Amino acid sequence: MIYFETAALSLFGIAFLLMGFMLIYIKIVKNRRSKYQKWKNIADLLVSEAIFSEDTDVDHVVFPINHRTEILLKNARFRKVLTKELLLAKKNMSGSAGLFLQKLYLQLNLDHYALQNFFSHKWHLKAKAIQDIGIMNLKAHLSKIYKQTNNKNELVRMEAQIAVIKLIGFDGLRFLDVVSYQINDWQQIKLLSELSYLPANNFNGIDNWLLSKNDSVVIFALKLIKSFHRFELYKEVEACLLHSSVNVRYQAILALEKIYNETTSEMLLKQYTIEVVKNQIAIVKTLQQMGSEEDIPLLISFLRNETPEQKRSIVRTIANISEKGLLQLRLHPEADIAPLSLIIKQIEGELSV
Amino acid sequence: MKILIAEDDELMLRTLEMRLKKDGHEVIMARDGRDALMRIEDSNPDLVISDIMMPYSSGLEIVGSLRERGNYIPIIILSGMGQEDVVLEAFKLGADDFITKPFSPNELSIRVKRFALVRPR
Amino acid sequence: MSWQTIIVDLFTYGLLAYSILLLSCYIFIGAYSIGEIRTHLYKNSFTDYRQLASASQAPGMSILAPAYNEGANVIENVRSLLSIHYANLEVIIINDGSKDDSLSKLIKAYDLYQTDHFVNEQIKTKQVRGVYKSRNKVYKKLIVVDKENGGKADALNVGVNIAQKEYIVCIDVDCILEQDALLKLAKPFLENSKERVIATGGVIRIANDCIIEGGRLVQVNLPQTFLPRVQTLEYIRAFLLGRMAWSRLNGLLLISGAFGAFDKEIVIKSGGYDHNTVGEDMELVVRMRRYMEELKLPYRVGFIPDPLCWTEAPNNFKILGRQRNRWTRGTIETLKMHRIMFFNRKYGFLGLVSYPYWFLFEFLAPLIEFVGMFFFIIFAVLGLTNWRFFFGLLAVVFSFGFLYSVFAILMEILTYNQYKRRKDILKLLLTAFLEPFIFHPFVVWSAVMGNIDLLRKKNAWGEMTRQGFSAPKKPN
Repeated sequence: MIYFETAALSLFGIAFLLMGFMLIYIKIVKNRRSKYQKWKNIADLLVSEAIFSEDTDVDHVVFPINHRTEILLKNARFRKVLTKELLLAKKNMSGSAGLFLQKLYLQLNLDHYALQNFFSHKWHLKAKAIQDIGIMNLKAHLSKIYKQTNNKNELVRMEAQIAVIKLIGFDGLRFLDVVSYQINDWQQIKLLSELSYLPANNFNGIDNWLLSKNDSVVIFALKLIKSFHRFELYKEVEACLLHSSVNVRYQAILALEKIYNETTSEMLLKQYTIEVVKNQIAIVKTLQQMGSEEDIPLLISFLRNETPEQKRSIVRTIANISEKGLLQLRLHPEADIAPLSLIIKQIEGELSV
Repeated sequence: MKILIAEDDELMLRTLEMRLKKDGHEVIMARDGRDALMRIEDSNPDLVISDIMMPYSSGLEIVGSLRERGNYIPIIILSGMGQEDVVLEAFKLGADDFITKPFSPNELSIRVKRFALVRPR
Repeated sequence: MSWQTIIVDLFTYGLLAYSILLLSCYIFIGAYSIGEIRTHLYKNSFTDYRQLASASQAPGMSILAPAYNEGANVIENVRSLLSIHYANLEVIIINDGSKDDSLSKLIKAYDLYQTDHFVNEQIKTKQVRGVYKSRNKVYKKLIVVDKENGGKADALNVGVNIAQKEYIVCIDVDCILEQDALLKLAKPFLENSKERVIATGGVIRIANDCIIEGGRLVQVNLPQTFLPRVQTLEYIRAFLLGRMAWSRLNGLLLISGAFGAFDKEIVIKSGGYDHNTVGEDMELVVRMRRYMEELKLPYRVGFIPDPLCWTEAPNNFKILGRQRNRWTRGTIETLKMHRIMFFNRKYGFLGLVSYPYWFLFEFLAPLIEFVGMFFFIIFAVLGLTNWRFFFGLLAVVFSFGFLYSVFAILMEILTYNQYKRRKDILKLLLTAFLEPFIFHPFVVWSAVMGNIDLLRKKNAWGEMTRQGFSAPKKPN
């Protein structure tokens, strides 16, 4: 029983130790917070001065740094605050303002510290350094960063892939030739949004990526075709409809919606009969855009055995193709029977809004 | 010109303010959507520059509810959400111009001047 | 040795063994959550969630918010839901046959008209009376459904039937969501290419005494009164340590009914919410997991520890007791419905660890505690066991509980740090010290009553629907 008492006492002991630590920590954080606000103001001032030094020549500009700031710059935590504000501004600002911000970053040797973190063994420091170099557009470090695009740590790899696009635009996409890890949907969204900032460019390589053994690369290539309307790759996209992965076929259908020609709808309706439900619904949806009155009889015939959800998308597509379609639908033997009658009513309501 | 800026990022807000004041405009600042709508009612600016993602009401909501009320004051949307459908939706609701972030302050200043020219007041 | 001593010894050592096992689990959970939360915070530090807000590639989300007699605040609450940052979104408010003027208020405020929406009844529900949409373009995300009263599960099922997006987000209409809540909740669905993420749970925090303006949380305050404050502590402990560790193990059994996102296809395939249990939120997750296990599909249940959803906690013993009573019944009903999984190797980790843990420590713990205490006192009074042993064990359990709470508070400070003032932290620590004397016995008692009520087959559904939905936000 003496064990119990010792155990209880030592547990309390640990609890009190933690409490002591907690209170000291709160005190430190509180001190830091008040200092942080002061530092943030100094940093903001530096940043806005850089943004508005427009009248000077970008190549030869030297920003005046007062003595107090110079001393502060030796403090790692102040540098962190300043770097954060600089990056934030750089993310929002382009043109000459963006260039001035980069100049200030370099003048204060902040790249030096980013590079230190880049060589760190801690993945989060490394990933953050890569992100910073990308945002600040430091092209000198391109090859170092490019090597990290297939890093085994997911976060490092993802940041490196984004950074190479920030540095060299569409050419950065060549990491897709070799990447062996899956590129998840979140990363694909980030990559596409990064590319959307760039001026349009007829970049090469998509046809190769469509043949990649990495399904996520194929899917991403199809999204590229869709986003950038790459009509010349029609045949290659069509070939993807034979792919073994359902998701690849799904993306191929979505891509065809943007690059279709007069034979596409007929081809997709043939595909319909051999597809899974999700892809069938996608096919019907794309026909809202590209379908013609000739497709309506076939669509109506699909109404026979499908689920209510599929019926709804078929009716919606028919109604969107032409008003005549809706008239033909009303002649359907089931047109007065639920659920088709209700579906037709809903679609009629949608069209009248 | 009297310009209202709605933006929840302090640094951006200050930068825009400095730039527009330098161009000789009068600037009113709002840090969230609700505040922006209130100030538009109160001070009746000549131009609104608004971010999309803000507390309370989004920039798109501001556009929508102003137009709904028959207020046709020019609105520039300034946002990092540059995707095609967002831009289209903004115009559909009645925005007059769309600038994506990252943006160039110089370009913004020129676009604002254009509104000053077309507006006979 | 007499038979009396044998019984007393068996009892004593059994209880001791159980306590040691329970404490070891807690130590493991505490330690295991640290790494997971650190990784999450590092990831958060360079994630720009806003990129998802506008992406046309972002997965579609349907918010399902059942409302029963919420007329007082419904306009405000819907406004706050509509202001959430997410482009590919629809907000479905399900009026579960309210007896007040909720519907007419909504129609007026949002300029609604009735549409001929075809309701695809993939899950059987009570009759839908009408589906409304807004004439105003700004509110085109809004859908209001009017239906006959059928309880929360039934209302949510109607929402599932009407939802047109890929994922559903179930929330209580009176919850305050952070504006980036959906962005964070959606991310796990996009991140995993090997396993299918079937659901993501969010954190519930206590909003009592916080400042709320226009449906938005403006300032976080620690609740002034004891009951909500001790629940604040309870929720921190449960969400920051418990759920975090379970999510790392991919063993989460419960996503709080007040805030969670689900893969709609799997929800429908596994049959939707079950309105025969008062614990429909836990039951659904267990059933979805079971469905995936039985089909041998790789899957995951995600969890986001960021404070995203704020709610009012009960601040009197009567309502709290009712809430805990219901949680207990919900847990037992769920465990009973899926008892086939108990130590069943066919269900992998779910059958061998998650389920038994819930059975042994969530369901049995209050009972064992209650019975143990009772007999211990009797034995001691009869002189069959000694008081020193009794108080010694009690002291160990008490000090451990206190340490665990202190550790949770420390983790909160090191991570999200919602309560910044030193006074608040001291108050929380004091609360942690008092909890075992004031709050804990009551919770145990409510759980025991829950067991008794269930044995008596007391069906509490009428009471539930009358009362509205503002209660079941389970943190265990």
